[in-house]
This record gives sequence, structure tokens and C-alpha cells, in this order.
Amino acid sequence: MNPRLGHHEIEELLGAYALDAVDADEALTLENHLRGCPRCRAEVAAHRETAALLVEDRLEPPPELWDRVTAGMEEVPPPIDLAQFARAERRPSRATPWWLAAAAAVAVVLGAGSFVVQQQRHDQLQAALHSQEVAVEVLAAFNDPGARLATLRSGDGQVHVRAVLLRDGTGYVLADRLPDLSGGRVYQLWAMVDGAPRSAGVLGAEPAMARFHASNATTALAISIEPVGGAEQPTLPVLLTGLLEA
Amino acid sequence: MREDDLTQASDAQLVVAIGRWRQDALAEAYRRHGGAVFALACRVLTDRLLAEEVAQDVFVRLWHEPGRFDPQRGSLRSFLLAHAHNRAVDIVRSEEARRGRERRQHQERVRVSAGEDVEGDVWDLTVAEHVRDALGLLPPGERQAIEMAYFGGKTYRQVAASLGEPEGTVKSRIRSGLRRLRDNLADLVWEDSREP
Repeated sequence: MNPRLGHHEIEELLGAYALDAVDADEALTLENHLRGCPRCRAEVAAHRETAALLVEDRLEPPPELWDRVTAGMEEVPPPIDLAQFARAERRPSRATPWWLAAAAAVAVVLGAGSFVVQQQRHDQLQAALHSQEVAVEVLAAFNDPGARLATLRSGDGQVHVRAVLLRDGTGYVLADRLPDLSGGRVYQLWAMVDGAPRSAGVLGAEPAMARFHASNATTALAISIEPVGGAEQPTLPVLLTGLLEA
Repeated sequence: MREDDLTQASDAQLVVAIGRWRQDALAEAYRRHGGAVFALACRVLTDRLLAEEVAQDVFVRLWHEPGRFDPQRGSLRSFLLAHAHNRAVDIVRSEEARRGRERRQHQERVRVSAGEDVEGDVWDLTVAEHVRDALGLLPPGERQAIEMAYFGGKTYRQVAASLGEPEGTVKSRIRSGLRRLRDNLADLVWEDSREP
């Protein structure tokens, strides 16, 4: 290992580092330094921009390379078709926002199969009880006679997520059945208030049971997939939507 | 963003779309930068098959981890090229270590014809005119150090050893050369924009 380097020695290495032209132990030292030094980070970035200009662009990649790239991709969930919701709705209205139409359609479906819903709710609670510390709170919330329940469903009906909103604005969502997302993407929960989506919090890439807060005026809930950190407005189409019981 | 807008989208918008599982956004990023990524990997590795592996790795990782790209910190192209370069150099160095142990004489893989020449065809017509001019203004020692490090995949110590120069000199030349190159380029573009 090389001895500790002073700032001057580190600066001297920035060009070589930007071109990967340092030894492994020097690279480690530099990376540690760069985490805390915006000025050196900026210099490395500038060197890399300059180096990038030197790369010729005419070499045609072999056609099979793109096939190799796509073969290395993860399974993408089936696209969510919100048009299905629209078709299910009996009396479509132009004035109805997309999410309310979707949620209303979900409510129609739910009315026909309450036993199934009860069973799902039971299963989800069982699963939740085993793994989460807020399980007791959640159980109490679902049993609260004043609580409003919602089932959020994906457009293809494959995924469903239960949520509950108490009178005091505390809510719980059992999002543990959602598939994990890979880096850079997270689930985000939305509360529909006065016809507009408001963020009710980011659920993370590996969502579990989550507590949230939402206005009493919330009429529906939705979950979308967003970049890490969340978004101000949901990316359309949203993944799941569900109407809160009155 | 609509499908037909992707060719007009900025690189940063493309990456956001990739984060939303838009495969056509990845395809557009590949169309813009795949050639450069593959070309750099070929230069460093002098081996088409290995270069394909590196390029595949670069774009698959962009698909899986689009959040690693931060548009505040630089262009998508330099981000992808830096990743490709890093992977290629890792392969070169582990190959060197392996070959050093095994004393193998021949590599059976297909060589890229342009790969071996240090001075000649790097600065061919595919490099933008201003970049070629800016390079021409560099002191030969700086130019050579950058070239051997960036395209040869060598550490500054290896460059110093093969040139018989002090390590500190080579280290400084890489840094000052990159700075000078950028400054020269800025000057050339500036002058060009002033011509009637």
C-alpha cells in the first residue's frame, strides 16, 4: 500500500486517475478522497469529458451486440393497460380523471368478489404479521370500524395491494407483494385529493408494510414507479390504483 | 414523453425514460453512444470479442442502474465511456497478470487491425477536426502519455517504464496534457465562431 497522500499528491494524480492509469491502491485512495472533495471530483469529470472527445465514433458495433444487450436485461413487468379500466367502466365521463375512472372500475370488480378480497386480506395480514414490527398497529387499523379500506390493483389484475386509512389520517399499505425493483427505481404512493395526486411517500425498491399519512379528503390511492428519491407527479400509467371505501 | 419524441430527447431525458423501463430509450442511447463505447473498448483491448463483452456490460448496467448517471456531473457519453474504459483496463491488467504467469506466446483471438499502432491512426478523420487540431498543439510528451494511458490501458508507472521517463513526469504530463487539450479546444472553437 502507498502511504497516505497529501492533497497536492492527490491533485497530481487526478489526470492519471481519470484515465484509469493508476494502480489499484492509488485508485482506492483517490476514491476515498473524491467522496469528500467536490473540486477534485469536478476536475476528474472534466478530464473524462476531454478524454471522451478523443474516441472515434465511426466503428460500427456488430449487429448482434444489441441482441446481447437486450438478452442481459431483467424481466420487465407486463405493461399496464389503463384502457382496460376505461372499458370496464359503465358510464365513462370525459370529466373524470384517469385515476378516478380506474379506481371506480376497481370498485365494480371488488363488489363481485368480496369473499376473495377477505381471503386476500387475511393472507396479506398473516404474511405481514410474521415479518413486520408495525403488524399490531396494522391489524388494529384494519379492524377499526371507522377505517376506510382500499385495494390497489394493477391494470392486468395480477398484482393487488391492500391499504387502510384511519380517521386521523394515518394509513397503512401492505406493499410486500410488489416485486423488488432494481437500482434507480422505487415505488411511490399517491393520495388523490380534490382530483389531484399528492405524494404519500416513497415506498422504496423493496417495499414492505408502510405507514403513511394522507388527508381525510383522499378518495383513492395509487402506486407508481419513479426514479430514486421519488417524483412530484406520478409517471403515467401508474402501476396500481384503488378507490377508498366511503 | 411520447415514443416518437425519443430521437429529440436529451441524454438526461433518455436516462429518465430508461429508469421507467423504456427499452426504446435504451435503444436510442445505444444508437447515440454504442459506437463510441465499442470503439474505445476495441482500442484498449485490441480484441473484438472482449470489446463486445465490455459494451454489453456497459449498456446492461445502464439499464439496471440508470440512477448511477448524474447529469449534473457530466455527459452521458463520458459516463458510458468511463465505465467502458474502466472495465476494459481491468481486463487488460488481469490478462497481463495471467500471461505473465503462464508465459503464453500467442493470443488466439481476432485482433482489431487498428489496435496496435500508437502514433498513427488514432487521430484519423473520425476524430472531429477541432480535436485533431487541439491534439496537434500538445507537446509530444503529453500527447504520448495520454495516448498510452488512455488507449493503451497502461498505468502512468507502466508508461514511465516503457519510455524511460520518471514516473512523476508522466503523471504530471497526463494531467497537464488533458488540461491543455481542453483549453486548446476551447480556443479553437472560439476562434472558429468568430470567423465571418
